[in-house]
Amino acid sequence: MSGPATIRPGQVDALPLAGVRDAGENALLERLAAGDRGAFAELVERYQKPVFALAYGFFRDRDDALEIVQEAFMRIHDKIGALRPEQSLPGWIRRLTHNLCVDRYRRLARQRRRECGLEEVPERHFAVLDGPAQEWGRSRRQEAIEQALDRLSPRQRSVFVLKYRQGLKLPQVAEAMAISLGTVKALHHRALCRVRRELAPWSGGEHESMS
Amino acid sequence: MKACREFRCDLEWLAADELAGARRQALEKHLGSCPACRMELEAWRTLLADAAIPAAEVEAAVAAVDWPAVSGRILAAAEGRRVAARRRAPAWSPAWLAAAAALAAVVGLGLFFLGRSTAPLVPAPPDPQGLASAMVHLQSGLAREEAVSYLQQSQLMFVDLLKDCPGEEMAAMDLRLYSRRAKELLLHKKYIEQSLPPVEWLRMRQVAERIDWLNYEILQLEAQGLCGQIQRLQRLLENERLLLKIRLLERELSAKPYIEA
Repeated sequence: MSGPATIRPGQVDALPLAGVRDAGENALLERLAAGDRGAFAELVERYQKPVFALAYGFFRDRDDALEIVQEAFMRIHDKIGALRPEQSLPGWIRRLTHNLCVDRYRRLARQRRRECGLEEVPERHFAVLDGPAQEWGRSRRQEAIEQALDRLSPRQRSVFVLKYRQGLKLPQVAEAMAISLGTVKALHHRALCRVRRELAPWSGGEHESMS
Repeated sequence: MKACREFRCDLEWLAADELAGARRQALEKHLGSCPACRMELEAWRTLLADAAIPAAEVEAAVAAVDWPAVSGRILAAAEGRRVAARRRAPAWSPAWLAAAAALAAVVGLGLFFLGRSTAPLVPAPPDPQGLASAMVHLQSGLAREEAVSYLQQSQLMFVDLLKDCPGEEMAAMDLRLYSRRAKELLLHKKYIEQSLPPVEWLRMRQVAERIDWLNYEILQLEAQGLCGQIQRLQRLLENERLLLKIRLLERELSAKPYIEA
């Protein structure tokens, strides 16, 4: 039996977690260290779409994802010298992007708690209103799921996004988040239970009865 | 019911495709005979399928982005940071400091021995003229280093220009890159030359005027028919032998020491 459908973008290459640096990566890093501007342009060209896909999985919002792309490459530009020889470049970019997503998610969550004006409502919430009538019911459930995900803690959300929107297995999630597999399993369980609890009114509350 | 309780915890892991081995086999066997657990598993699977983002949605989101504009913004911001960092950086690089220290040691030793030969018991005051001359030499050295860096950057850009003739779809991006590099060079030129010795200053001015002229030509490039315009600049570069002039001057300035005999 297979798991649920997850993002395995065909055209957008996913950022690998780790791995041995290849000759091309080393050459690019050497050029970057020498201050070659063309090398940075090449790096942006190569990784901007995977970074966007990762951030999109986290926020499901194009503007948020684009802001993460900009922020991530500025961080890469400033910190590329800190990349250790044993680290793989895409793995490092993945972790850096993920950390930026978590930071942004925390900021947004704080903002949501402080005020609940229209300007904080993500673009996708309005997209629902623009769709045809038959989309409405399905969209409302999707919307409820997104809202439930928005209420997860940053670590629970990270586990959820990496597992179900990036298609990683739990040991890989542990590696990406630099935490133990046991912690990932606990976060995964809590995240799923919480989402399901929040969605109980949409699905007849069967989870409540089973617990 | 007891069996159901035993297996319930495993249902989410099966739905998540994270259950393997004997426990998976046992659960699958139980599911074959338990409709309640099958329903529960289905509920988990539906939830996870709804929560996942379809690959087509990500691909559509990626396709809707104007990527050349995104990379253009990133590169411009990175360039801005580099310029800001250069401005913040102390004017004294390690190489310059070493040169200054060497100069100070030579001047100091010279003054010491001069003082010993004329008045061995009373230390002679430092020669203000000698110090001033040493400072002038040091400033010339620093100005030369700035001029050489400017010439090298110009060379790099013009070498790129000579090799380039982009297709129309790359025009906007290439145009922005060239304009930015031309503006940087025009800005950079303002900070050089002043402390160069007169003869070098004159030669530098001749070459820098030609570089400026070409940079202004680059700033006037338009996205429409970019290839033809670049080819015209390539012809100008070749007719003027500008790259050769830049290279000769750069070599001449690089060969001069900080402290001249």
